[in-house]
Amino acid sequence: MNDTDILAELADILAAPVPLTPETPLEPPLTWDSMALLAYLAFLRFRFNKLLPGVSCKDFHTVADLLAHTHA
Amino acid sequence: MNQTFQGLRLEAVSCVLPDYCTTLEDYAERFGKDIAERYSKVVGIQRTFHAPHGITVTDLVRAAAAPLLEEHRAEIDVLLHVTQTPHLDAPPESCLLQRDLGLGEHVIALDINHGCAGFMVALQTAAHFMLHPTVRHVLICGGDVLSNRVDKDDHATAFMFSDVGFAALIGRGDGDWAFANGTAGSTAITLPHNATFRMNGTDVFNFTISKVPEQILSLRTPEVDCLLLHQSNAFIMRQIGRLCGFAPEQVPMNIADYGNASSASLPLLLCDLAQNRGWRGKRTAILSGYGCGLTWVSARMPLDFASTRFNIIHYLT
Repeated sequence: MNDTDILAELADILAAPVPLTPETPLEPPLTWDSMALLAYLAFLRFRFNKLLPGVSCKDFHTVADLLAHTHA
Repeated sequence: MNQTFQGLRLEAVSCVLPDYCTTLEDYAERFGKDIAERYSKVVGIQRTFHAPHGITVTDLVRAAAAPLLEEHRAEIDVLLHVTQTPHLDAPPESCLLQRDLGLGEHVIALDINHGCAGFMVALQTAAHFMLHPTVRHVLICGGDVLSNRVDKDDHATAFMFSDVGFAALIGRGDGDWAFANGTAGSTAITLPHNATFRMNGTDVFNFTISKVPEQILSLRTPEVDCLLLHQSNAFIMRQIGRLCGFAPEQVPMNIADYGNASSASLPLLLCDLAQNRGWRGKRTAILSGYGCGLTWVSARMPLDFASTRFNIIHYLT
């Protein structure tokens, strides 16, 4: 997946009403809560075969933080 | 560990629901419409049932077990009671149920302290007891009253649980039951004394989308035509079904109507499929329970919706 595809998936997870950039903060109008976190974890598991143990919503501040785990 | 037991039959399953219900509209009033919409979309719960104050698991179990005992009361040799919410620390509630259900004094009565995996843990334990030729029937019963043990201000768990009692009668037949079980001690899900239910959602989620599918796949054979999961969370169940290669229609859900019923979740799903969703005839299913422990137990087993008696009862107070 390229970054454009990943951003499109993240936009769906975050119910984003505006286009995302790496700098976009994880705050309203985006929805970043425990349910979005589950969807993000599932996305990592299925697209990148990766598990992130022990994380919580407050470990992520911007879209770049979400993108980082798709590259690492 | 994988184990196969031969010559078993699920003879009857019965579940009891209290008559108090909370709906998604109630949840929306408490936490707001947006959170309620997302909760409904992800977790999938539309309503849950709650035992009124003073009603215990044993009250629900007595009502659930009554219709199963008419023919076989004298032939029950083992009583397994699964609960994490006994109303007394001692004596074991299974002993009180032996008395209340009118079972013989020869009965082996055991409490099993398990939650969402509890029905499967008890089913595997029952299969072990049935290895002995003198054991004629095992009665599994249990459930939890958890709705009064959640943090009412936590939107993630406040609306999660239904208080349901169940009973299931295991006897001899022609079914082969193949089990796989797993245990990994963890405090990711806890119910402390005098405190509310706590769950580390991330750790639980990672567990359910790694260990559980692996176990289910270890049991999958070509004749398996459905996957019956503990009704934990619609999003998680969809992921497990997808990882195990099942079509959505092979992974039935009733979490919308009943929420998470802890150890009664799988018995309630079986009864709901038979009573309300038109399941008839024979199936080869994998049943999988997973949760507090962490514990995960799955079984491949034949189900006969024509000959097994399934029944949902409403407990009127």
